[in-house]
Amino acid sequence: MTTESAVADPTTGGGGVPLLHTLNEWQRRVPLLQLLALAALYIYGLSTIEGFGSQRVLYAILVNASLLGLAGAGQTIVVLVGGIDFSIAAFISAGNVIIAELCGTDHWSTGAAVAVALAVGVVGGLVNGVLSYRFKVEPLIVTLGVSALLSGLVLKWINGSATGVAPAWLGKLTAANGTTFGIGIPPVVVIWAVVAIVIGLVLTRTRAGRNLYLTGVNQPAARLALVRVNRTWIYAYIASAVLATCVGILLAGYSGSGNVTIGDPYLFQSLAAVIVGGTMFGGRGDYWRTVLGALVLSVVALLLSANQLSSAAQDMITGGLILVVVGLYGRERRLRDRI
Amino acid sequence: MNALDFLRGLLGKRPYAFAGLLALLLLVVNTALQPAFLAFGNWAAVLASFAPLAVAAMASTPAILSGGGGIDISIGPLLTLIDIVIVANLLPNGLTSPFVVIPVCLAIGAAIGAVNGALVAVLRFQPVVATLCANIVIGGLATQVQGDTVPSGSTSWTKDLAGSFGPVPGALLTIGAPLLIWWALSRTPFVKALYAVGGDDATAFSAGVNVPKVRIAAYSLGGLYAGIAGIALMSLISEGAASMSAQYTLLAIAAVALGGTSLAGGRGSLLGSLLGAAGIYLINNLLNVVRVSTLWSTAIYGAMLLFAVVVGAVLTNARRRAVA
Amino acid sequence: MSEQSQVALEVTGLAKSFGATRALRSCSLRLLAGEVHALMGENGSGKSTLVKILTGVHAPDSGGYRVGGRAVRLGGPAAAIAAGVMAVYQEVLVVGPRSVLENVWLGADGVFRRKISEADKRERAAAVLGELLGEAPDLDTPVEQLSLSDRQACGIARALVREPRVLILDEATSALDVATRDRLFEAIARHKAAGMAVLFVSHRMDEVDAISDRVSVLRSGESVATLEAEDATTAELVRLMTGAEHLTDIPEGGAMAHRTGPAADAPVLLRVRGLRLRPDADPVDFELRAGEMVGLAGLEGHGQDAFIKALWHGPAGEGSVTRVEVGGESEIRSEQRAAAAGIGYVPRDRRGEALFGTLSIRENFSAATQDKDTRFGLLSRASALGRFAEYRSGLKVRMGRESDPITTLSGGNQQKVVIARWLARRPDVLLLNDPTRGVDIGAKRDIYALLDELTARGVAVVMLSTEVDEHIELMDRVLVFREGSHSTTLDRRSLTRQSLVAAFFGRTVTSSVAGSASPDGDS
Repeated sequence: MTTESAVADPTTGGGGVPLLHTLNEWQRRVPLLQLLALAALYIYGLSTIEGFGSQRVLYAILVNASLLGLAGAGQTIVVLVGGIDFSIAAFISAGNVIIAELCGTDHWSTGAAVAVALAVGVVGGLVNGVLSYRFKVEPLIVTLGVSALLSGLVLKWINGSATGVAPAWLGKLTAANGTTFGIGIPPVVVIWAVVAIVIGLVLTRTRAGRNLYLTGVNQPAARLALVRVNRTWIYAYIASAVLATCVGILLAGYSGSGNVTIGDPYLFQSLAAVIVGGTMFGGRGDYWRTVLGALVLSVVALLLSANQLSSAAQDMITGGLILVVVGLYGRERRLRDRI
Repeated sequence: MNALDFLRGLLGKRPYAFAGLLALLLLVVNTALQPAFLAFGNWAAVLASFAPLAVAAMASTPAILSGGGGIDISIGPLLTLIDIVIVANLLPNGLTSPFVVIPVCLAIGAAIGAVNGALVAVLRFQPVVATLCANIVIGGLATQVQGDTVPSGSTSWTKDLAGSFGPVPGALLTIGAPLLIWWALSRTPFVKALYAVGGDDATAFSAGVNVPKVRIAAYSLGGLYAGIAGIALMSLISEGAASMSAQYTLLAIAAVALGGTSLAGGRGSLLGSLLGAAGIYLINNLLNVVRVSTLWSTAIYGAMLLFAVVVGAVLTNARRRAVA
Repeated sequence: MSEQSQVALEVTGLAKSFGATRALRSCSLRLLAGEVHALMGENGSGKSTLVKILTGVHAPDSGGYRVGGRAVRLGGPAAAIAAGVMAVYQEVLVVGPRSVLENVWLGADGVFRRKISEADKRERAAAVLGELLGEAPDLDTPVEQLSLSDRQACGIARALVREPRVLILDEATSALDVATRDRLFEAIARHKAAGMAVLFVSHRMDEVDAISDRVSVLRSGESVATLEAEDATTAELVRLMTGAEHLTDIPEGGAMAHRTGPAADAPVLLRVRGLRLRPDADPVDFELRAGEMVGLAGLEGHGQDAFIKALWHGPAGEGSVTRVEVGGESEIRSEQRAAAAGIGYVPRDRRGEALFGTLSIRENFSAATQDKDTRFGLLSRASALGRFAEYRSGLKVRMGRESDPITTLSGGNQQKVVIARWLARRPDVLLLNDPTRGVDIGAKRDIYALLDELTARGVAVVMLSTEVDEHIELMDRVLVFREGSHSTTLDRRSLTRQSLVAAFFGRTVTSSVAGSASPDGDS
């Protein structure tokens, strides 16, 4: 039933029901399940909710998915290399507040403010990666610690409340009625598309990306195959932190001002997008899948809210959905196979 | 150097010693700066404000001890759900007796914990994934039950829990209950089985230990403790607190790690988590006392957590190398 | 006592396959109460699988077993233990951070229900450990603080305190020091007198001689014979384990009869000096010449694995590994250096150390040679495929598309891809750690042919193998390891199944088929 069985025991991959096997094979190459879910959900929306097909709704979904998808980009990279990043929310908030404060309150130039935000991302990601690799501390705890440290420092820096206002041009980037070079597509969606293509290419077509998979799938084998596992691991965490910081910068435009808690919802949502997309811990998946995961979650969110369901009910359905999806494609090995 | 070696030895044998020493030091500093802190009359209030975090940390411990990547990140939402169920459902409907409220809360907690345990031990979901979903679902449920306006309410015994029953601080009951349950369980083979499964599940399995049963019991116990934490939180704030769930999840896990419990499973203790929580609580309090803005507290506890886990890793890695 | 009640364990027609591998074909066995029954067989003959079925870890595909005349419910270790079967494995299974006492009594209680009082536990643990160790250690010490031998003693005590009807010792003595082993044998004699049956799996002929009453032999997953101890001579056991009737299958000198070994003036490529694999073992010296094919053999865990790894990432302790090149010499201290010096290593545990299970065939092939596929910073698929084509035909890899996951291939074809990964680096020295394990016969032939061709081009090959036939067919010489050191070298002339297997057990066999093994003759 699961592709996991093929990993646990390579020789049984051909067994079972042929049709199921073929479907599994397809699912491995193409995120069929997720595509179907997305199409079904969208069609369901079209048929039950008036105005669901309008451009306004579509763009709302896309803007929402863009931000979620970008937040999930770093998480995808870290999960692929075999780690987990619980500091994404903090980096989003940090990027957000830094831009708003430096530009809005201290009147820095945008370039300088962005540079500072990115530098914070690099340093924070470095700390995440080095501590978890060098000292073999669980990434979960390290990233929680870095998360607390960073958000604490940001909080202190602005003395508890963000006063800054984001530069106006940032707001235009994330407006659902925004235009890109005169074309009627919200700029943030275009940015997401570009980032998705770049990350997708890096993951599948560059040595850095390949090393990420090799390390995530089988660290001892990667080491034996002369991959510099330590660098790969650390760069993955830096990439994650920097991407999260960028999301924070974009969110400053979305919300118009700095907000120290703006990243919080993304702590678990970024992970949910990755998991729904079908990227699993240790080298299975890619960024395209996370893109789909973000789209599915955004459509679900809009459907549920359009159906007058509370955000609470949305959460419950989302949680159950993730569980079902994961249950279909990937679970742990049996205990008896490990003796 | 001798002092360092001694410290290494101590931490090697008693991983919670670091959190213990830290908590003790902070307690002394707190008391020196603010003598009233330890005044007898102040105990009840101090303990009551400490209780939710303390019990949440203990609630996170059994899942982590059970190994296999075990962790329960749904503890935060679960305890806020319990809190909300009391204020929004039970009290307004006249169900105020502790003999109704407490069993209901504990049963909800244990049942949700058992579901998490079954997802992990029977259906073989990764613990992070399973409890993340539980986190989202329970969080949603909590917001749902809470409704649009934050409900509030209290009854005499919950006030006493936040205050005192006669001379006894009420929070001693909420903090003491998990310890007492743990003590009672350690009179059965369960606690030892839990450590064995967490330490090496393949060995435990080959020796005939019922590994899934132990793991399900561990997650259920965590859920039960989360029920107690929810009662402690409710009696402290007397209102719904759906927004506080993420904070408790993360602080509780941090307290467990600070308390010397290994996220790899099989090493650590409930006492360590309690001491770790005390460390975090006392730091917050200290920063309050010396009027360093509370804004520092998050950053400082983050730094402390990183420091503690790195020190712990260096010490245990050195020790394991020496053994091997 | 009736005949039935004297049978402690009766195994009938057990069979078990893992995927395409038939680990156990048909195994039948009868253990009497109060006997020590040795089980012998080559590596991979199915002994471990049999033990894991008897202890409930695996469920058999067919067949079953009865303990004390009663069929055992198949349902995991707990059920097997309840039926009275307990096993101690070669791998020391203890929970490191927990106390000696807890480890000894692990699994004896229910999850919530205590079945034995604490005082009883202490008393019996102390008594059994006293028997095994002379003096019982502090029962509250964490097991991880004990020596390996004492830790294994705790594992054995775990079985003994439960007083099983059938005790299985699966190579369990290999981790014990000599004194503890002798005390274990005394303890077994006492338990035997009380009616316990012992299934004693061991590679050590001296141990089997010392304690067993009867000996059964497994070969290729089938039980082939049961002998009384006095009939179980070394020669007879070796004949049964190797299956003398198979001897005729191999043409004399094998398919590689044309091999002449390296030229007399072939340069030395790798030199090992004073390499100590265990602190208490003799150091090993070794030289490898261009074009040579050297086999490493021995019973599992006797040092050959540590030796080949030392050639790859440098010595863990005393000694040196030097790569001799035209330009000069360099010491091997890390895998990076070894790779830079033209050494390639195909690891033993294919799944754990070599395969990237979820990645494609192409990605698995190019893992160690990505630099050759980079065009303008992007990896070129065409380039990787082009490079792979050469090895794909050379190694006769049978596969679908290159984008299929590597796990869709058979074990043999997976291994070919892994070997190709290293060949693509064009090494001068190729280290292969048991490369044909779990590989079907056709793929083996392809790999042999490739190795033959490589050595003809001057590449030196060092290959650890657990298969006797492989050494005989392929190698210019075979280094046999025993007790952590190099004990014997057999050259092509003196290599026979009998001489090699006997060398594993520290014996020499003189037979009509071949000459005798030469005592240490490393040149």
